[in-house]
Amino acid sequence: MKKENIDIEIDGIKLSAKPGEMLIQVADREGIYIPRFCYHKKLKIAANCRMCLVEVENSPKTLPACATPVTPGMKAFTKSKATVKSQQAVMEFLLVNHPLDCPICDQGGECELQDVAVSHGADRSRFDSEKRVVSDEDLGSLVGTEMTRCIHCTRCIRFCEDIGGQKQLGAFGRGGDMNIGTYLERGLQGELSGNVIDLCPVGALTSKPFKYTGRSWEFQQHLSVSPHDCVGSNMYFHSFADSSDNGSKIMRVLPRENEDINEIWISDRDRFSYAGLNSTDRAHSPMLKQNGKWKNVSWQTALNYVADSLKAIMDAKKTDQIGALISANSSCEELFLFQKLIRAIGSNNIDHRVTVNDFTDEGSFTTFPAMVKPIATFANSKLIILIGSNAREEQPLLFHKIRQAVQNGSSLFVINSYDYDFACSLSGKKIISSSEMLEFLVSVNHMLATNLSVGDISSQYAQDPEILDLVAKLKAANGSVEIIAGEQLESHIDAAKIRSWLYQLKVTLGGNLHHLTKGANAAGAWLTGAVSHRSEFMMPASKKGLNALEMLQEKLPVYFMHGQEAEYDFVDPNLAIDALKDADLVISSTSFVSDSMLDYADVILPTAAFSEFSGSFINCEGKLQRFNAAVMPPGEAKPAWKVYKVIANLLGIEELNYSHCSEITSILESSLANVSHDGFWDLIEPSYSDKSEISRIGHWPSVRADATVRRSEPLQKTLDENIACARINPKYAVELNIIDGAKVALQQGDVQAKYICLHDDKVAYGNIYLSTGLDGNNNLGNAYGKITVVGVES
Amino acid sequence: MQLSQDFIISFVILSLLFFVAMILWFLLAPRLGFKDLIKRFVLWDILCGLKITGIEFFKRKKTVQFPEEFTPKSARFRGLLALRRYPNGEERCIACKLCEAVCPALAIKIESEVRSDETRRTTRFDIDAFKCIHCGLCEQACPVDSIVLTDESNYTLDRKTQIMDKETLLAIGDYCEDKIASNRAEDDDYR
Repeated sequence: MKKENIDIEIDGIKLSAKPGEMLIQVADREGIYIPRFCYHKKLKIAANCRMCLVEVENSPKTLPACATPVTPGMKAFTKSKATVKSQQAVMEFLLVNHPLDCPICDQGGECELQDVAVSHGADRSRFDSEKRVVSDEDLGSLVGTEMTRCIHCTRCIRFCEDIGGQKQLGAFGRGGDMNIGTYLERGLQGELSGNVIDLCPVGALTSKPFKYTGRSWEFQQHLSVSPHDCVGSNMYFHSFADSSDNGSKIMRVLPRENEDINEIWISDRDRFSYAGLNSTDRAHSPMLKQNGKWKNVSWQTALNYVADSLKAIMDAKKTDQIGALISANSSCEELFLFQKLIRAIGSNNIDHRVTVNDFTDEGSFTTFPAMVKPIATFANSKLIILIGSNAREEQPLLFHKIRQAVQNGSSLFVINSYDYDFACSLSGKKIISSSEMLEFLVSVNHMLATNLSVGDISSQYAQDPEILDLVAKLKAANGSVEIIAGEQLESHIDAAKIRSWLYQLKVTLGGNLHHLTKGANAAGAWLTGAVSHRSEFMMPASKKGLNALEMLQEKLPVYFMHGQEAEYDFVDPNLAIDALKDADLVISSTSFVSDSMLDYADVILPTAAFSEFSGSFINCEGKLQRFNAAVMPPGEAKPAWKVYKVIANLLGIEELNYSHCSEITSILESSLANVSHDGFWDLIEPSYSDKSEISRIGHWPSVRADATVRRSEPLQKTLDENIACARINPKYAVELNIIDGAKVALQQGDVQAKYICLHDDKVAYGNIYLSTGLDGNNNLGNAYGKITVVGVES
Repeated sequence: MQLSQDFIISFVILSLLFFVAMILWFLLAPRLGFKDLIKRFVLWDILCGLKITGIEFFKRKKTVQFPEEFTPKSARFRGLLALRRYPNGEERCIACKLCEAVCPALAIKIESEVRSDETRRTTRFDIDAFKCIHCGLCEQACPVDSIVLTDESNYTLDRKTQIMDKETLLAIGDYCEDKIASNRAEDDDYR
């Protein structure tokens, strides 16, 4: 039965409210301002700051508006004498212990306490005793503290508990001795922890990298979209409004409200990656390698050199010898022009999928690997199955929605090769070796459907309690199953087979199969045709080119790369480096130059990094979002789309004749209308790999995912100190005679390296966990390939 | 001889013209009383003016022999800008940027950082002296009495020195500190 609305009155204005709503919610909706500190629309109600006290008719005392449910005929007065008196009294109490350090406080100018003290406080202080001083908490490298300023609103405590999923902060002591602090002395952890900075109404929790570098009033705000994950969180870049020498520098990043995607949060990676933009590694001017020595040259020289080299290949009719690799973090416009340029030159060898191992089912995706359902609707799903994903680190804002779903009562089942900490209650999990994942899924499918023509229930899983649990859950979910194939599954050796069996699961049960991809704009890359088998807008390519992995295996003579760092970004860095070093010509258009790039590249074209060009990203649900350039590129760097246009002009190619990249955006936007992102798979006969072989599980830690975050110092400090160690399940280690902390020599292909090996019962039996994209391990082979232990030192 | 003859002729002509003018004036001018007529003939108004001259001639002289001598100034005189230090030598400025925000001429440019001792300090404090209009709002805004307008008015700046950087401003502050302190003490009751 639908409850009827209640009529109430605030300041004499007649309003209608839903039963159970709080007074402050009604007032906010109607634009009547009530001062508050502890109340926040996204957090649970605490009613401990008392700032929102208002006079209510027939109530002997003023009542907190945030914790007073509306009742029929209620009359509240937000500006009456009694209300103002209580507000002034509360403000006076809050200011008793608040230091007068506004001039050095980073919150100054955007401080709720400052604003409310001016608008609702008394005009002079009657307090002449000593103020209290509280020692600071160490919350890690991202959040700085000045606990003396804390007014105990407990927003941060509630955030960590409800949104972050971990009880990390708490209030200790009572009354005047109350302190906010961590339960454990290990700082603030979690992928969303930076949001406490925005939540804190005073300057107690501030951004550490931003500390003391600017004031809130001197910034210019630029609309932007997260360039690190496929969710596409909306955010703002802040740069100095004054465009003197420091004008072209991003000073901080703040979330931009978008209820459909990121609500009001952004992940730490999005918030602090800007620190990498000002790295010393930035490419400032075009460079040419001549006789093994690098020389800074003019754009004209560099572009003529590139055009002449490409022209020579075109004249020799060897254009299929060009391999083009573009980063999935590029904008749609860059991807579109890049593939158009390469295809116009005459090569179909173009790809962005440098993290993928299995390309056999690339035709199964109708558009691109996508979330079939909008992210915002996930909070209502019944059963979510997450496979091959550490979504909490990789797509934090998507996982926030999943966590909300779990809090709303839905079940989350995880199938992974490493028991990641999801900081929310899982209703079940299966930690299984990557080589047995397929077998497990085949068994699940057979337990649910009896009429499948291929595969069979594996004897190993017939009575496995976890599989029975999952099957029971799947049956109970009654068609409302959301299967999410994660970023790590994308890199799996048998990804195509696993996807086909996941699709079967979806067909049997109903529900949806979603795919997550690495990089911010993999969807855009598929749509614009930066894939080997398709041209733009899902048209088949004139001739199927080589995919990313084949390009490297074939060892082509010419590579054209955009935004890639071979030693970090490729699933098999060793293969990539070898292929690039053997090539005759490697053209790298890049924002960052690494030592290794200087080794393998022949031409470096400095292009604008994210925040320095405008364009658009397509997120995993197929939503095109535009962003603007916030600052100027450093030195002579230019936006990549301009560079490709000039190369095309020099080569006499006319297909790239767009006057501005926004023309392309409009074309893309229209192509996205009314497109279904579903995919279709045929069941593939499972073939199981030899279980005696060890597979490596080596995904990119979230802060090593792309060139910008890798250069962001504050984010790098959040890496686990043991991240560069190999990890192995203790039971498996006993079989291999590896003791905890032993130094082992690991081999992949013909590369060998020594690592400290730790026992970790979170790793699946049969796997070795060794992260990719780190400085130490970048020379080992395929992140998801076979790995052998060749020697153990104790 | 020829000359004196010319002189006599011109004198006679001028005298004749004068007499004609006098007669015309007597005929045409409004009637004056006898007293006024006498005043006019003895040049009375000029004597009155000369009386002031005479008095001033014997009064004490007010001319200041600049640059050997200076005129006195108010303690609130708004002259050359300076940055002050605490008695222990620590710069006062905490990089709150309030002066930058309040400056109506946009003459101040500040950049800040965390200094090694975790305090908030400026890395750059530039004032464009050509833009500065000496309004004193920066001095009023400063929470730590760091930026001040000294009573120093005798200085020159050119296109090379118009941007006063942090070192310059602190040096001015050091040089003028005694005067700044005494001026502020004098004006203290009214702040």
